[in-house]
Amino acid sequence: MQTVRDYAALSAQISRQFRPGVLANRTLGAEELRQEIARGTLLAHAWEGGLFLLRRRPTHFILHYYLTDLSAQPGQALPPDTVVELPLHPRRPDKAADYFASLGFSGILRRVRLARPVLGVPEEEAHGTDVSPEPLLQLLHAQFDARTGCLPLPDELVDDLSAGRVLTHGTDALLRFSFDRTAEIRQLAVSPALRGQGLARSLVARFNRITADRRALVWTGAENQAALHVYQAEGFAPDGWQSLVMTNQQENHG
Amino acid sequence: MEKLIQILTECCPGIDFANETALIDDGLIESLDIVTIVSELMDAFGVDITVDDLTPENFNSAESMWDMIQRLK
Repeated sequence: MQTVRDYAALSAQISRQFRPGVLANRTLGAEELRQEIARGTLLAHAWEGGLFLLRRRPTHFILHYYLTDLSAQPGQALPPDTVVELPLHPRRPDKAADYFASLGFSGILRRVRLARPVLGVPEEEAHGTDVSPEPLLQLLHAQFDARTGCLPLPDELVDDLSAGRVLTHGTDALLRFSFDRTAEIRQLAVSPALRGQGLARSLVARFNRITADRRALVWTGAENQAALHVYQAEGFAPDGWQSLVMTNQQENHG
Repeated sequence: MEKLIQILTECCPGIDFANETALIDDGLIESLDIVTIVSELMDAFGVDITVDDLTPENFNSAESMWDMIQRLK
């Protein structure tokens, strides 16, 4: 694996993967790639059968793949503690799960996506907050598996707090979201002591008031009945997309 | 343009590519579909599409995809 330093060379490498029949998971956009390169956290490995991009995180690597020939072996093992999320949709039968199983990966989580339509005119504006990021990061790390939770790096959380993309109830509950042409709930967390009081639902309702003028999405664990109930009560419904998160991490790594 | 609509329909059946103008914004196609679409367009039209071209603006309608192809030719 090579640390990527040159965006132009990487862009050309990615373009070479755009061949009929290519299998891929979520594509990193130009801006995301540039940020990862600037941080020094992007690694790449290209071979005749595809391209792996790895985003380095404190406890694991996140894999983005382009597979053009499943019979060609990568020739280099992926680092331990690599996590990959495979998209699953009825219109896209994906053979990548078998491929990653052959590389020693196994499934650890199935996610389902829910969508909410445009509601109308926003009833509330997003405002930045000066809440300290540390307790919120602690809350996120206590509530989510770092491998599958898509948790923000500290500087990303600081940016989101100042941009109004984190809704909070003190430091006991938060909803973090992205806000572009569509809005997407990234994490929703309530500390265990305050569960059962409707905090999660009130944060989602507030998110809906802020993002009413655009479509909204959320990915959540397919077995997470509490979260599914909250989202469906606030107007979200499954839209057919699911994903399978796989890892090559050994169980005893925690 | 007819060839483009045919390719898009084969990639993502059931979508009215001739008339939809908010394919991305309305969630009719996804970034995952875009990789499939781009791969077919590069093969069919002989253009080089890069990561920088993968913007919602370029893929929100068949017409905007057609304009992108013309620019890249």
